[in-house]
Amino acid sequence: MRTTLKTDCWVLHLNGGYTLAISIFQVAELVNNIPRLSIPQAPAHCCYLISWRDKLIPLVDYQTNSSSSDSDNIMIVKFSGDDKNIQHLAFAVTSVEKHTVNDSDFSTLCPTPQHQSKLPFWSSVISAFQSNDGVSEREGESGTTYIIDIKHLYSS
Amino acid sequence: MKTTESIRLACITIHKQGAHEGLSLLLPHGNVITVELTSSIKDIPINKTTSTSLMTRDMAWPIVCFTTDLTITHNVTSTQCSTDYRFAACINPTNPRYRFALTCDQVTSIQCDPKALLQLPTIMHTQKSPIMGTFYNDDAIHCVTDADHLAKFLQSHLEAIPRHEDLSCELH
Repeated sequence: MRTTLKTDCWVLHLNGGYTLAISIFQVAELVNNIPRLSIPQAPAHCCYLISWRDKLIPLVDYQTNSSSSDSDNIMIVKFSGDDKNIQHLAFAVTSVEKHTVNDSDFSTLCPTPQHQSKLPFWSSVISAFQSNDGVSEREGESGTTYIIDIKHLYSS
Repeated sequence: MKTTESIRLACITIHKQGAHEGLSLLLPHGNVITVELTSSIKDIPINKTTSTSLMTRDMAWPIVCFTTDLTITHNVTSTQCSTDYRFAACINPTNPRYRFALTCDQVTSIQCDPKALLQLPTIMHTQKSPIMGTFYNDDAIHCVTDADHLAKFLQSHLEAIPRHEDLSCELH
């Protein structure tokens, strides 16, 4: 009998049309209506901090023209930092959903110039999968869900 | 018992036009030499051009106007400065060639625990940015910088401003 390994994850539909999958253990909290604190001259995709549980957390928002809208949804993700302390990074999302991915769904990504120019987080991508049940097949999205090294994204 | 010494920083506030929110810059106290009213700013003719400067301490301090996102406002006149801002803070970096006066709406002094000053996360760094860290207090974010980082950020702008050579003055 052939068995299929399955992994539970959260799929984040990011502002800007990108889709990420994170481990269910990485979710800290989904918040909304949280004020954005502007940092001048920071990169366009990460120019705000949010205050969450007495911590200041960088907010990644790939929809750079969303300006200072504070009525959006923000997923706070935790990861292990350099010193093994738990650190946090926030993502502006349009929606999130739970998903189960089969090992056979994972694809090997070829680093084409097209990928690199289109994906702002390309250097942090570890793997990806194509969804067969419509999770990533919304209008305007590529259908690929990426798994990224959040520590790398935070430090790059 | 070991106690932590608090530090005092100069807090320069620039408001968004028509709004109360704005940019708050924190600098070491010693980086701000003096604060003057913008009504003291003059348009000084130098070599067939004009330099909008503040004359104080026997020196000319070229005026720099920032928006709240640290964009430099070019070709400002003394009239504009006194209409849009209340004060000019004279900022003195290590190299006096790059001294300048920053127009602003308020300059205060704040005391804080150095441990509360947080380094800006790497993901928010850009090479050109003068912002080194943040201080969060009373639901407001303050951006930590110093005169040398601001001077480096403004270097090309300051080099383009005509000025009399009066660098013999020592402020440090």
